[in-house]
Amino acid sequence: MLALEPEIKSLIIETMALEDMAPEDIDPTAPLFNEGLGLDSIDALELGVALQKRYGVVFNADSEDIRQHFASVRALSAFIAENRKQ
Amino acid sequence: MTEVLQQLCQRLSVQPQRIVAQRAGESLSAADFLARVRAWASALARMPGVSYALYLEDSFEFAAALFGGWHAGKNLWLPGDLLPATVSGLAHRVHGFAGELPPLGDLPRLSVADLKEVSDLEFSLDPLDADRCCLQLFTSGSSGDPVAIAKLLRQLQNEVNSLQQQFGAEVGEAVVHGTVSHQHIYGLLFRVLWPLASARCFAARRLAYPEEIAAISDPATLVASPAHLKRLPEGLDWAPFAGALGVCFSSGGPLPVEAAQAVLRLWRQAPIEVYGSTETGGIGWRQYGPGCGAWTALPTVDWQVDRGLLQVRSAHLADSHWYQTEDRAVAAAGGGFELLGRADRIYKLEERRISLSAIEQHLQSAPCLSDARVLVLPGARALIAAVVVPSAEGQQILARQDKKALVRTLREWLTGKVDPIALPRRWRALDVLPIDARGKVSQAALAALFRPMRPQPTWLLREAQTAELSLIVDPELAHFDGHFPGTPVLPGVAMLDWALHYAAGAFGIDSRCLQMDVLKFQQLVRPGAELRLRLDWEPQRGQLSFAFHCGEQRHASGRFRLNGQAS
Repeated sequence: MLALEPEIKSLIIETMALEDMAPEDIDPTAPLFNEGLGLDSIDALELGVALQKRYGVVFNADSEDIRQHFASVRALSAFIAENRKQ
Repeated sequence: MTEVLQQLCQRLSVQPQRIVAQRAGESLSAADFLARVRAWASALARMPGVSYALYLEDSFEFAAALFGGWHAGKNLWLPGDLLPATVSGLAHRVHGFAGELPPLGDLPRLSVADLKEVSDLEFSLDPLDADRCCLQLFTSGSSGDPVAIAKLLRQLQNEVNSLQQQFGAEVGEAVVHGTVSHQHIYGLLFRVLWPLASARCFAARRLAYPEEIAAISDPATLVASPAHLKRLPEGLDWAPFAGALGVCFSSGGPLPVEAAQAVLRLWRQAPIEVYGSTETGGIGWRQYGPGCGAWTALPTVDWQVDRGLLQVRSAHLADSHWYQTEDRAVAAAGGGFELLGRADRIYKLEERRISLSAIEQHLQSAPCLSDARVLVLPGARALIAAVVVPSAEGQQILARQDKKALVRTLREWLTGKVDPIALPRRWRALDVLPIDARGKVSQAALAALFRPMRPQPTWLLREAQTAELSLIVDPELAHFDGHFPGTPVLPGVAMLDWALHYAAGAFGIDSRCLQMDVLKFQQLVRPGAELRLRLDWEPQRGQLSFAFHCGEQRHASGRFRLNGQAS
């Protein structure tokens, strides 16, 4: 699960085309959205699409669950590690 | 159904079993709705003052509060979001807050939790006066301050009549779901008022994620926007939803053709696009298909093009005068009109109206800047970019820290002042703004500052220690500037940057370079070339090998020793 974190960070930087940002600049426990990395609701949709493409994961339809999976790089890595299909 | 909304509560009281809405599998009846309307009406009637700001996430509760407010004689203001600047901007316009708005000073406030105490089931719900019941919706004006647009119940009723006349038969009895908020006119009309007036059931909860859409399997109408339709994951099992979907609406901004095609492919429905604005209400519609493109006016809407700009006159407006929009338009050969974009500096970004002038003004007032310009960078996802000239204070930040620190300061400065979606994502700090021969800051020169430094990669192979990717060398890359005039050649150092950059992404490593070995540049790379980049990572030795080739031809290769620890 920890091994996935750098990969997830790179995917976020790549998908969001974050400028001047390196994987080591992202705190794996910081919130991805709003105050943390500053991603917004559109980023959440784009990141969801990218994660499904890359790992074949499917989020269930409970919006509260999804919010928790997207809380931080660490939470997202844990979810992907458990649910990846590829 | 001409005057249904005025008499909604009377109509519902004679059919108490009618299902008005559903919330997470639970059906909410007309009797449930009337009880909530009475709760809101009796509570609001006791609150001081006339004008109340209303914000609620749940559409059923919102509808009850809206009608309750009207029955209590209140004029309701609907903020589009809960940004601190929006909330504080309401303070001098309203007498109090209702719903989920946070407390502000000593402004009277009525939350959902307060309602339990004061429910008055005897509160009399007489027919509403369509010319007195009013609400205020917000739009962002060119000065940046949100502009309040008043809507009488009569106008809203007319809108609903137009929608029913145009789309009613097609929509049928399906449950109305939506990805857009009812705090804006599109969601308000399509998700709440039209279903209420036409006795259709609506979903109380907004669909935030594609997974929630895919979970729908009962007959459905979807009120969506390009933000979601442009980003439908192909990997979801869409079959149940495609079978359930009757009509898909899209509004808020132009729907790209690729998105319309994806909707058609995944959901087997051609989306219906609706065009309008807060000021004008609904104007026209079109459905994706062969030869589409022109817009057809909605019922009661007249239009004309004057000096290139669209003008409209309709029952959706407050009076019968022509209203001048800021949309450039031209009459279409086969009837209807085509839209050619905005005439002002308002830009629609993910359906939100973004005022470039407003962002510029906020940046210009930042203590660490002496000047600033913003522009829109087009692309699959359009981005706001800022070119800034640091003041003495900004120069100190750059000197003591770095550009990241300056950008962080500016993002914090803008937070709460502009929609988060409009926070610039690209920044350039310059000593002076680029000026053209006429002494103006040229848009072209600003845009040139943001030309890409790297091509978009297509990953062919991505394993723990090996990766291969295909790169098309975009002639627009900044590297070709002056290298060389008339004979563009990719600088070798650009390939070194690409190898390190993509290796960091592929292997999740810190790709700071300690040493370079056996660098070879065998063939020139010209604009438009299709390169393969092969990367091999040996973690034990901290060694990264790279090779750029095109078919059999090798362009460049070499080895780096890296810092290498996982980042």
